[in-house]
Amino acid sequence: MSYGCGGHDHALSRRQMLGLLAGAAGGLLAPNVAQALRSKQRQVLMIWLDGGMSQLESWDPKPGTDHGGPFRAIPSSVPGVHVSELLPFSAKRVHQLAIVRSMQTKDNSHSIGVGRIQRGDPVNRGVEYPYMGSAIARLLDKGDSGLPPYVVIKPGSSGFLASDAGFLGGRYGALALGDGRPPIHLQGGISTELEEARQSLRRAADARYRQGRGDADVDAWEGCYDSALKLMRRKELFDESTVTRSERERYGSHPLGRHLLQARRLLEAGVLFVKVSSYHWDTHADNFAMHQELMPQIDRPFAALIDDLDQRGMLENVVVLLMSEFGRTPKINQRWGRDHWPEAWSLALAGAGIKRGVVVGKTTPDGSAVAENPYDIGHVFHTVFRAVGIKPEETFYKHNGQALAIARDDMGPIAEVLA
Amino acid sequence: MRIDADPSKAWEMKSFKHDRILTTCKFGPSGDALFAGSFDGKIYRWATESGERSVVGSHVTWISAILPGPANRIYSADFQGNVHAWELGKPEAAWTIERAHPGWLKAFAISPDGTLLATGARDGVVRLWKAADGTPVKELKGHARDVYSAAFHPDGRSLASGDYDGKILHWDVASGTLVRTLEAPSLVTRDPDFLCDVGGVRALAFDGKGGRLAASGLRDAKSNTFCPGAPSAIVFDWETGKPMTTVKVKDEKIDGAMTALRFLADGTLVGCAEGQSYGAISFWKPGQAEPFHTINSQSLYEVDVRPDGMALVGAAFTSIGSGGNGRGKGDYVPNGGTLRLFGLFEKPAAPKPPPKTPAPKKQG
Repeated sequence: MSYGCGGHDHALSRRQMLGLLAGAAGGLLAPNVAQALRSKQRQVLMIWLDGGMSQLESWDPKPGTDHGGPFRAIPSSVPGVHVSELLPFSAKRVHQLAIVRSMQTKDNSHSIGVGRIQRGDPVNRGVEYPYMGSAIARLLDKGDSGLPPYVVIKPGSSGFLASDAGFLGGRYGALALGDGRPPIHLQGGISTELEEARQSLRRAADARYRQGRGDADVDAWEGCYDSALKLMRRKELFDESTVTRSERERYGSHPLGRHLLQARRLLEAGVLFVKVSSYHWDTHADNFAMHQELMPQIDRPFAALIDDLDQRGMLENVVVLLMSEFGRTPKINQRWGRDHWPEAWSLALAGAGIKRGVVVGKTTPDGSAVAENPYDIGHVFHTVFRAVGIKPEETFYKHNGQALAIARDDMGPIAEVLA
Repeated sequence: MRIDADPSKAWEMKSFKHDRILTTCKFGPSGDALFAGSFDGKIYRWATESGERSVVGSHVTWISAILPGPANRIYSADFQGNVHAWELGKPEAAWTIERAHPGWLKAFAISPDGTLLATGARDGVVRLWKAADGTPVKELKGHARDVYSAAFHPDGRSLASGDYDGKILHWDVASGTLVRTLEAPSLVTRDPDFLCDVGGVRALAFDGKGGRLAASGLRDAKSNTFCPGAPSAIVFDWETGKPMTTVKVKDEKIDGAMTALRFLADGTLVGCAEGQSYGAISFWKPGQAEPFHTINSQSLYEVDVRPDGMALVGAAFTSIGSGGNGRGKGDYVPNGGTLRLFGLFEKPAAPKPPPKTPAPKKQG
């Protein structure tokens, strides 16, 4: 039996849930399972290619078929497994990966799909479920790094993404580092002491504001400042001079490469969950020319990252998940683009608790449907939770006295990829 | 009676459908046959009169370009960098260059005398080959990025090659040296919000006398996903290398790259471009930015002009079955293509039907 439980109890065990429902429990005092994991703190890196990477130009190539596109399939480091020629570096690391070729989800629009996928497509319980990063931040012990548990590296602006936390409340939101840059506090000349004094004044104002009002907004506000303060003590994490030229070259100079390198540094420093987002993978036009340009931007740094995590022994502790909200249509449209395709697509996993060198599921010869072992995003949430040591069937969120499953209770993990 | 070409009177003479997308199309040297390459990896020949179709040859992947040559030769290139030469009626290739470039061969041109082929691809190198047997002649290095297009000057002594960066390199064919660089920076859009640059010099064409070079592509792209922008071509004075005119299309819904260019004998420029829903073939008089005539069509990927200048063919998209996001209701089958053959002259009046003979009155 396991559950995450900290000072603000949103998670509780099945036993506790039963006790609560029976009216037996007053305060929820539960052993913190995260304590048991602390000696080997599990972390997660989610790489999110927003818009939808083509499975046919990546993990599930179908050369020579009706919808297969013009590119070749190349052998990987696992005998018999081929990937697209647009992934030459990752192809040599397939023995470190678990590739799922049979993702079958529901939404074919970004507006619904992105949120639903990142929240694990929960059954409607009348609440907004947290994104995976917020869920992990809530369910796992944060460790002793003193760093914010959930960091998003993305193009564009920085900020605090309170909405990621859903019903868990703003404090489990994400600290977003625009373009991987540190929060603005770290970029100027303000001293830590002066900032502490300012924060003390702010906390006093927050406490006054909180009186008689709901906590959620203030929690989010404070969470944002606290995260920034924690990072202020770790300025070296953003010190470019500590990155070697060789590292920069291996990851590449484009945003995704730089952001994945920054993600590795944050994971090394102990951040619990890092999400690296890259936008504009939605190749409705010129899919093949675009994928020629886009795939190297994930291929090379992804391979470098797997190598680095492996060499540092971090693949034992870090779960890596590379995915989009859906794949792309097998059918090629009038602009030589591929549209949205939730019916049959691929993702890759690696690292802690994940088998290495396996390919799960199969699509039909034309790539338009899943032929074997269909999996939905709920299965992926189960799998990641399992890989980090959380048992979804025994762990629940508590919200307004209601026990809520942390992942779809009609689904389970992708057993074939769990080590 | 001699009839002059008049594109403003263009009319569709015939069309030939195919069950896969047609990437490229050309007239044969005598004008009585059409050739096209397809997503199915085959090169087809259609006899324009009878409509009879035959397979010229096959590649391992999509055909990216074809070039009819003299003496019944057809040269073809593909998305994996292979080049084949075919002799009509013979199923085996006359010669093959495997991996002439590592990947998608985008630029493909034949010299006016038919003796040289030029190829270009993502490796940024332009290669010259003997058309007779495919042996390498020269490597022309100077592009920093993908070579998208190439065209020989009508005098055969110069070659122009266009790249992803919007640069057009002028090569001396005999020596293989770079003569100069023409700039078409508006044909590539760089935006820090894009994952990659959008554009490139997608097509190049010299006019018949070699005084003008046209370079086409896409201006002002708004994203790297739908890649919408303004299809456009820049016409250069070849002697000075200076841009003379930038042409555009009339309809804003035609927002994809201008992927093919040809000049008619009178200097009229012809270009085709794709759109989200449909495409167009446009015609521009020398010095004019606005087209004087447009033929709307499904998205078009290439156009070619018949050697006599009186007809034009376009490789157009044809929608088949269901499409768009997710699985629709129809059959999930590949989209197709249509070769659309247009006469560039006034459609002859249909012969009047013979007068009806009154039916004999019934005898009461």
